[in-house]
Amino acid sequence: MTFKKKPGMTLVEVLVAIVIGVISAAAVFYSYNIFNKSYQSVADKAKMNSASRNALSMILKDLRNAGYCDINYNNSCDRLIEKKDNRYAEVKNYKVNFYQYFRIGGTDYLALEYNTSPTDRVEIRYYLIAYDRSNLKEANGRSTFYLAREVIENPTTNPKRVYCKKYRNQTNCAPIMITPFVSDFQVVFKDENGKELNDVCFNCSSQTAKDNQKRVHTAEIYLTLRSPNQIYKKDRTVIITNHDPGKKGLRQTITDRYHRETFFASAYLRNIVLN
Amino acid sequence: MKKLNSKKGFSIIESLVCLVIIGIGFVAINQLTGHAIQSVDRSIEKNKVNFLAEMIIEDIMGNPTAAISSGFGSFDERCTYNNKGGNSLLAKQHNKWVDKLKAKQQIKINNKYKIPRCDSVKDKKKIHVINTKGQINSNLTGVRLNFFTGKGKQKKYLGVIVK
Repeated sequence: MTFKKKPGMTLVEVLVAIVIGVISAAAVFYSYNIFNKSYQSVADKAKMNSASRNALSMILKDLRNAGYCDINYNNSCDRLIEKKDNRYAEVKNYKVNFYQYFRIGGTDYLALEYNTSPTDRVEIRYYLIAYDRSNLKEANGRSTFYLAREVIENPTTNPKRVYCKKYRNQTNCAPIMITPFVSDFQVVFKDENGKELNDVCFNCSSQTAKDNQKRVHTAEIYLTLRSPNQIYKKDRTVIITNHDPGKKGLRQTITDRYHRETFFASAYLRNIVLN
Repeated sequence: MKKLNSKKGFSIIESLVCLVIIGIGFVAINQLTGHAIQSVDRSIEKNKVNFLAEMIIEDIMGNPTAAISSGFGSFDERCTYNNKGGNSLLAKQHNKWVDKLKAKQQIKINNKYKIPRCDSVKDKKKIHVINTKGQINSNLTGVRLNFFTGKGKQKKYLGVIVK
């Protein structure tokens, strides 16, 4: 009896093939991880970029309109522009509507008014609000904020909020989010000599602060955004100053794995200067 | 018998070579992802520069006196920006432009400021403000802002008529 030698693979060959297979599978897995991470960081950065562009263009547009008073408007136009510190951590509790929001200490609150027609005037407010949801807290328990815009029609004569579920009854009104995941929002007003104006408001007792409204010449906006996801492997320490050196403003030091960018824009307040 | 043994297949060396080639391909694709991140960073930088250019134009509009007396024409800055003294609005505006283009005092990451990339001291990346009084119309004062971006090869112009 003769055994025919069947052609096949030896054990060594099989082992080598397995090793090669495993190595290539590992390479595929490793590069999948890398592609995934880099896709996330590219997508996050692109989101931040477009969010900042949208927000800053909107704010700049409002700033350029700020103080505009239509020649046929019958009421007074003494409320022009306002900047406050948002540090009061004011808690607005709309218990009836089950809605709560918090303003954030240290960041800024910007409000301005302009005419949209000979009979209508709007007040627009920008400020940061903390997300309610605990799953959006950052690693160290720090709240996450968003930049909100609130529009009030005819603020002095017949105030009505615009962003409401029921406009007619003025219920469920809440400012709308225009930029998610914001770390800092600062506003700096400068007068015609380039000097900073600290107290500018229309809703306050100080007459100087009220008069300062007409002295505002340039407005500067700092907006620091963070990426929606943690995109770095290691912790990084970020110091956000967002103000001229040695002046007021919030200085934050944050150590985490998010990416942060500060966007700066500046506008000439032509409608206030020409008033 | 002979027929069976002469069946052709890949030898181990051939398959190893194949693996190496695939490996090189992977390395190339990995580098591609790094490039993607870099180009997003560049687009963020360009977005910022856009707003900065807008800032300069807005400041020029807000300072017509200096525009008419061709005060802005003296602003010609390269990579090595330096603040200059002076208390006039013009001097302050110049210093502001310098600071903001340097992204000074804004965001510091791992103890380093995020300064826009600047390749050389020479004409690369330069801001040049030109007064165009009498060039378009003898009654109009305009100001033109020239931006040299990237490695200094791309030029961008922004113009405004002040008065």
